[in-house]
Amino acid sequence: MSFLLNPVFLLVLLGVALVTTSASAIGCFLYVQRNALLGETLAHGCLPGIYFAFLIGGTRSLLWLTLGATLSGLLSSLLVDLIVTKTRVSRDAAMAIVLSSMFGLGVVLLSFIQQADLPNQNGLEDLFFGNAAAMSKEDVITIGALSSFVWMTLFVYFRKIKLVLFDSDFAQIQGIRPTVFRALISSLAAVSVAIGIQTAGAILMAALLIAPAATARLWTNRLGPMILLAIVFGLLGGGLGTLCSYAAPKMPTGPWVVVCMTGLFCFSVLFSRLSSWAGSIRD
Amino acid sequence: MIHKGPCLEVQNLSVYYGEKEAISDINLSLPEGKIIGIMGPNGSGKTTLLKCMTGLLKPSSGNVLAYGKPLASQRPKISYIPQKDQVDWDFPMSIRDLVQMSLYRHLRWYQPLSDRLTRIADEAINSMGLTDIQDTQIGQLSGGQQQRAFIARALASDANILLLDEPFTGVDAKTTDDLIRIFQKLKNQGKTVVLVHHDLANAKSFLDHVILLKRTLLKSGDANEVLNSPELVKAYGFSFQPCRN
Repeated sequence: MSFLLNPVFLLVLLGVALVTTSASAIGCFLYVQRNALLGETLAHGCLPGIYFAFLIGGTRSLLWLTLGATLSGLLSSLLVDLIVTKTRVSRDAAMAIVLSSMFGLGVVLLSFIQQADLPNQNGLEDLFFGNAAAMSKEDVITIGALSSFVWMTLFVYFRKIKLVLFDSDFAQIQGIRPTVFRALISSLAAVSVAIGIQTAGAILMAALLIAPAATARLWTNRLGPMILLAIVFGLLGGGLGTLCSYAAPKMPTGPWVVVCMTGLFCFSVLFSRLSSWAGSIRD
Repeated sequence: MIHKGPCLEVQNLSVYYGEKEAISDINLSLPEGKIIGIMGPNGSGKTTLLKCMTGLLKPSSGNVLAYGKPLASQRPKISYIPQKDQVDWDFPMSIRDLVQMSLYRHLRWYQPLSDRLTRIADEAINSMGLTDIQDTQIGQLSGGQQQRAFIARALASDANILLLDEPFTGVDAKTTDDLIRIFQKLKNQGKTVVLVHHDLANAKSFLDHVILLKRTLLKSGDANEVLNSPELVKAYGFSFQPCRN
């Protein structure tokens, strides 16, 4: 267990913690909006943006790639809305089409980059499942700054977002514009997904958004406590997952984080079932 | 204080959804401090008219005034209670959270609820008899409690005009009676209650004023007068007599 004092491990642990806090918080809003699959759409949709950004900038700076990822993720969300409003295709089908198409486009772009043998491209293929171990100090600073931005924005606009997501008509009567705040949620989700891609990868990032939120919902009936609990579960899952990936040799961090978060969810389901059963026996 | 003049005026209001006419050329003056029913068969434009009165729906032509002024300037005086099936009852929110929502407009993002606003929320919850269950999640409430929770929200916002979309849908007879008593209590406090209503059998017993629609205004006025008028036959295709035992 000597790795616990290893600076690389501590750096990765910090990076994972920062990613999971913003992802868990924004995930709660996607959950109550009944839009959990948006996380999946954004995560898969990020990929072409990352590779495009690399092609244009020739750099692997996390900030630059995150910008590309965010824009690409937002484009995916807009495409879904466009398909739903302009055609008879249902929302879930539109999401399936967009996320798989964008993922496919990302794979094509990666193949092009690899075949062109461009410099600095090592590790770009890690973005499918993530490679937290490759995090540098600069990456963690970037993640910290963007995560704080997501956090602060959610904190400042918490009441308005809650009002819009629960009762957009009432919000509108109060002079709040629901479309603005729904767009804000999507944008913050896109940023959270973009900064988390290196940790969990495009395929698993959605779990970091929704698993803590779903777990928290089992423990509370109020949104404020749900967000706080989701962050706790996100940190717990992220910490345990990082620990497990370092304790065993050559283990990927992202999938371990997802496994631990899922474990917490299963435990919470079991606990709530047992509590109901115990309660019904008492009655 | 009762305002002199109508609380809501609808002027030459028409709404089209694409090519389809929803309501056309509606002109109305709604008296303050009454219980007003918007009635008509399915598809007659009742919810469309109600939503125009809240400002949620922009009419294709015409306008709505509240207390003689444009609707947008009178927002704090109007509260809308949606249909039951429009609400996400699984949302993680207690009755207290729901009522406090109407007070957010008084607060900056960093301000907690003041003692004064907390008292306002408490009074609204108490007036609806929900104090003992105020921490209950809204999905765990009965139909009547759910409606009362939304009415408590409207009261906390100090709205003078409450607009309700089918408040009796999905509630039993006793709850219907309880809600009617609440509307009468609100009326006695000088509030105006406007509701989309379907039940011809009990309409005369509590409505003061009826607006009868069939995509256009058939009749508006005293409830007894409207519900005994020939326009009722035009609206529903039959004349209505309550069953007598």
